[in-house]
Amino acid sequence: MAEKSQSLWSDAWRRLRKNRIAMVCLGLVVLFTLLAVYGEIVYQVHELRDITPSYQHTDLDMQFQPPSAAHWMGTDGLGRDVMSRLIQGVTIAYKVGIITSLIAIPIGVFFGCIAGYFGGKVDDFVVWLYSTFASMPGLLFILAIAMVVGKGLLGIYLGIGLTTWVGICRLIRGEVMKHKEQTYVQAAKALGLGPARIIFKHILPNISHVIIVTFTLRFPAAVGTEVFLSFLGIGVQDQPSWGLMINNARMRLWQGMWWEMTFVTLAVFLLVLAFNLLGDALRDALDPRLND
Amino acid sequence: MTDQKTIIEVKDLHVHFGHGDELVKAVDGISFAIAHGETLALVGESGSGKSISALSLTKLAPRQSRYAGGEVLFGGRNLLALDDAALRRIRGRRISYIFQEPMVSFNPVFTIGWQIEEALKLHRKELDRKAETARLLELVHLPERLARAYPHQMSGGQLQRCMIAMALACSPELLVADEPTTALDVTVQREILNLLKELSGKVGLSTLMITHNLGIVSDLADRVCVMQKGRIVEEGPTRQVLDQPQHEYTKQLMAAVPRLKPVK
Amino acid sequence: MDHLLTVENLNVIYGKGADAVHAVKDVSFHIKPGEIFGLVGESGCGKSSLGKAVIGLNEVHSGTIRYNGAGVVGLKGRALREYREKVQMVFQDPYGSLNPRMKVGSAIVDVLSVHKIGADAAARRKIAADLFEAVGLNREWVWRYPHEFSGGQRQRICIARALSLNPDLVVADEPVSALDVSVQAEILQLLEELRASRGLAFLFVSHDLAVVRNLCDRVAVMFNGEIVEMGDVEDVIDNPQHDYTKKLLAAVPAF
Repeated sequence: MAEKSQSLWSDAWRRLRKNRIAMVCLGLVVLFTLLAVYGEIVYQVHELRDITPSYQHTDLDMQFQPPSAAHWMGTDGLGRDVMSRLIQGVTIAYKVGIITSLIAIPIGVFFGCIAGYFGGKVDDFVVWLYSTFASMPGLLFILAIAMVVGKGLLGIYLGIGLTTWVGICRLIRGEVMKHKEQTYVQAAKALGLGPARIIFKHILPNISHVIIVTFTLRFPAAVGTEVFLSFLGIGVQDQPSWGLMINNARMRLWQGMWWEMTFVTLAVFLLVLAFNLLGDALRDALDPRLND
Repeated sequence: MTDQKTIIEVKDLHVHFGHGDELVKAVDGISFAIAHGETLALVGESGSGKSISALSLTKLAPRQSRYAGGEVLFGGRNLLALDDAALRRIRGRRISYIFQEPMVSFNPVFTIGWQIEEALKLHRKELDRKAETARLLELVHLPERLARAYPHQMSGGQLQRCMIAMALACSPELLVADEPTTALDVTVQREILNLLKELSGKVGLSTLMITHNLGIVSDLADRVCVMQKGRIVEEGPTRQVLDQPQHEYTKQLMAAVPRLKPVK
Repeated sequence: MDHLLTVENLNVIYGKGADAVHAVKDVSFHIKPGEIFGLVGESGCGKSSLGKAVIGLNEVHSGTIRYNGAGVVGLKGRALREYREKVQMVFQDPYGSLNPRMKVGSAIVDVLSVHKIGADAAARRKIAADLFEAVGLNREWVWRYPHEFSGGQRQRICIARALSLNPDLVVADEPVSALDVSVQAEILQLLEELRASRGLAFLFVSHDLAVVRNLCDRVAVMFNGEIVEMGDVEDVIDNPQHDYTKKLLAAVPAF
């Protein structure tokens, strides 16, 4: 008997590899990931040694230099190198995008699944819970958390993470409700499988595309929120973030200093595009009925 | 009751999907004709091309299909050569359709009466629509008060009657019924079959009946075409085909059908 | 106690108060080992509700269901799992009842591992392939997805999955009504064979009197939640007593 692999995920990977655009995007995502790791290491090393990293190095003689051989992406208003700050900013974008997703998606998926599957009182409770969260203005909630845990990244993670699970919870709840009526779920019940196994092994793979698409859409939104919070002064304080860079560059743009804005926007664009296209391709790869 | 006047004639019709290696000949050169007042049954299993054939008469087959050849002669014209505007004047007015799923064939937010009147408004502006709606409901043995009912308040059988009333609204020359009773229970199916029989006598309707059920064929059809893989493999008067099937496939099909009284 | 399954005065009620629907009213019947028992009626007569109640997918309002003499109503947890090893179900829709994102073999292996049948993964894969063979499918096909199969093949897969726990009774809810007649004949043939080779009993829920006439040993006719007539299939269908059975039989278009 041909011992082919058994899992949906290894099949999906096989299909994904055939998709050229997806592989380019995957390459980009890997590149950004490496930059993020590199940035984090650089940051930690400098923190440990208590020295000023090069990207924080100010040189007022070098203000607003356009791109050149020494500074490929030019310098900003304090004479700092835009490229090294941009690379450093990947770390923050990643942390915000991924850590908030790691908080929000499991919460949303868990509550969505149990509400959709069990219905009744469980559903009532979950709906009450997310309605309560949704009725609070998100920004106030984030501000409140920032007051408790202090300014900085932790506040952003918790703030964004704990307010944005509501959307995915609603989506997942609806999808699970739809799937639980399908005969294959009935059949699984009749075969004596327990609810946890049915939810997580049988239903979840069928709705994984919802989660993947949500994840890719969350990324730009989370970066956007970070930009906004940093602008308000409760976000990132002592590290270069894309939010802060865009905010600074914004004021100089009309004076013809285009480079900082251009490169940062380009970076955000590439990252978001790569995640979106990869997410789309992954969703297709996860559907065994397509492209075989 | 069958006279010799031919209502519609299909000549060597080909309908294809896809291209090259993935070319599917859904309908592969079929020909048949229906006389005035006659009921012709197209019978076959799923994938035989019977529904596509029926839809192709007025070019209603799915978008990705191509009419690769043949003619559909109706009222002296080849329908396959007509443009969309001309076909719209024929669909619903001179050739009406009823489908398998009465439950989803109505708009749930409007009353039945409103939807029948809508069909009248479209094609026959001169009539007193209220009176005509009442007449049509009576024709299919539904009480007039049901004109004020919404689709969800009615049973599947009642809705299929309304479908038939709507299809008859413009006194069509040809009724195409695509598995009209497949979704219904057998006692309800019996009522609908009786109604169709009665109507073809009363209104002099020509009917193209698409079905997989040989019992319905035997009950309703004057002639039958047995379809397999896009082709008509056997054609003839119903009794002759069912009593003395000639083609291997027809025999297989008949052998596969479970009988109420097992043939020893 | 030579009855495999005994149902007595069973009631199934959906909803509460004014909206309550009395789907199954005071139904009693039994199934012997190796017997094919037909349950016929039109939509809404309660036959599917009854089938699901037997397998524990529907809540029972009152009455008893005994399997080999032991009551099964209200079983939970481990006891319910053990009961479900013995009583299985095949559904009407062969397209919906297989998980589209799961290879058909994995679905069977999954069931086996939950019920701790087979020593290890390899043994379970072998059992799955053997089951495929038993229902007339190629054993190489175990690692395909549901969409790669035709309706008849899928119904065979569903039957293989139901057999994976080696049950004594299979509740088949309209298992052939979504299939073409020639495929339908093959599946009915398969059910006959399984009864002969494994001594399986079936509760065969159907609206098709002709199918029931050809397959079943005994039959119960349901109308409005009640069994109006029950007996050997020859007696009931060739010589119906109740008015409703007569009406039902008269309605079938014959040729």
